Amino acid sequence: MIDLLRHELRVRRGSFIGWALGLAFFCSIYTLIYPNLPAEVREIDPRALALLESIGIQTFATFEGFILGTLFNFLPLLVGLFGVVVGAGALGGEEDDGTLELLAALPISRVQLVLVKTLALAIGAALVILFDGLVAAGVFSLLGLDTPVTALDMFLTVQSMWVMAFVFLAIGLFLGAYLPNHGMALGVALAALFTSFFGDNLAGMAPVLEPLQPFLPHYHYESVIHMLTGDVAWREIGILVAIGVGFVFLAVLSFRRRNLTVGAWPWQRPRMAG
Amino acid sequence: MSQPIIETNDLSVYYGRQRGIHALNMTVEPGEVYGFLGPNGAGKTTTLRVLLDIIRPTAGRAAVFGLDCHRDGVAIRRRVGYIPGELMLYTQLRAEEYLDMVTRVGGGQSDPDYRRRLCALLDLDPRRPMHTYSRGNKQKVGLVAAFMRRPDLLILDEPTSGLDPLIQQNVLDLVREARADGRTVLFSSHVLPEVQAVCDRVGIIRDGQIVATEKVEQLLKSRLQRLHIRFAQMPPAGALDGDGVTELDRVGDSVTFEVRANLNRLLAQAVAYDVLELDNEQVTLEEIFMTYYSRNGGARHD
Repeated sequence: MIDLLRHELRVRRGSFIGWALGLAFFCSIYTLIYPNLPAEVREIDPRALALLESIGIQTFATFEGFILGTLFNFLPLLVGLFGVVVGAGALGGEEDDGTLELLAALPISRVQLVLVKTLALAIGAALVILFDGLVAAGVFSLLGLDTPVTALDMFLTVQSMWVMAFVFLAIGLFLGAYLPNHGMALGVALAALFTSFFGDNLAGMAPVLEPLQPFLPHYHYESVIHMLTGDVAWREIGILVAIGVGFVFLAVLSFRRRNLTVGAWPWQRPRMAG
Repeated sequence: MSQPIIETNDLSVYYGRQRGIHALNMTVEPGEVYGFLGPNGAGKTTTLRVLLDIIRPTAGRAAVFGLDCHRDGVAIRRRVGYIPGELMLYTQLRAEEYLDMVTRVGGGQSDPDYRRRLCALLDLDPRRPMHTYSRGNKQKVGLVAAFMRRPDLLILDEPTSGLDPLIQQNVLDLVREARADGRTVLFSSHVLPEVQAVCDRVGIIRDGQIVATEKVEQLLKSRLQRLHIRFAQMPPAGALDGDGVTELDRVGDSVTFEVRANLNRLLAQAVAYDVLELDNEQVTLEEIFMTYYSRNGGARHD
């Protein structure tokens, strides 16, 4: 299966490189801008503005407060977007493109196919995030800021984004296997991503929504991101990995039953004879 | 009696209420080239996909090499080379990267010399990125991928589509070569001359069912033509009808004839009315089949 894994990485290398560069730019620009932040912006007290506080911005007066409220606030959304796009493309996209039929005609089982694709995407996500972590840590080092945050903290915090990429690529894979076509899978996966991100933020403003937060990946990731200045939230990382594994499992179940190339709804798919 | 390479029993695929194929029965024997014919939407591609477990049957059974197509799909596909009718390739790869992957993942025999020979025969440069390929070159990549492992069974869905005539002949030679090696070919096509050229037996599928299975020699005897003749002087209605010749229609100074036999007699008689123009219309394969089978007492089931 190593050959199939190599193939999966090869066909997605352009996408991985593009995402790695785009996210690295995002990491760099927010890190670079901090020394140039005007004093009046640094003196804003976001806690006085419920909206800013609700989306996780505590202070701009320190680098760690600024970077947690900006880069590490929005990066989980962008990494989730990366996961959704590559995840939905791996099964749903390839089916629409017609290339999935070529793989399905090879002597590999459906389960192997989903697992190899998952592994390839997980490795690709790790490589993208490794590159972005190195860029973020490198840019941070160049600035020589007076802050308790170290370059290693920056690097490792960016690496923690992998769990969010994994959760959303798994959701994308599942929806690509379950829904009739790529466009629908991508649309629903994006809706799930934005619901998770903005739902978590809204719940910060409206306590009535708090009971929904445990169902939102971004809620769990909030604890993880504070590893920049504190301990690693292994429990929340475990929860997010478990959510991802759960969606991979659902993707395997859905893909095993799927009639490839015909794009039917699950209830239109034939019951297997014999 | 040897075990059939392909055998379907009352095979049905429904998508909700929509029919894909219905109670389809088909048998392909070892070492034969079986032509699988039918109009668009008849169920050819659905059947081929069921054999590869790409689509699952709603009812009935499909077996390849005596193995169940769903349960033993991996074992079956290890011995099958396939080119889909609507071939789409990974345009971000070079052809040789794709072929390497198929060789390694596909298992079976790996013979770099044979692969090189196939590329030469099909005039394919596999070092180029596939996004630079024309439709015909993409088809060649699919053909090399299907043939290069020398599989026991080749499932070819419109294999010569998009190829120039010279390369088409080379593909037909490869099919003949596979048969000479004792391998089996399921050859789905709309193109009657190439079916005649390589197939031992043909089956026609219509509305999701096999309505006829016949040896190619029998098919050739049923050859049907449709002639449009423009006359300077119109013959009386039905004057040129005879054994194997039927007048179908007349518009202005033209008469349309369906000709199954005795073409020379028709032409000889037509000359008496001063022929101005003669046009031989391409008759579809289905028309030939349907005409042939109605002449032989209606459609037979496989």
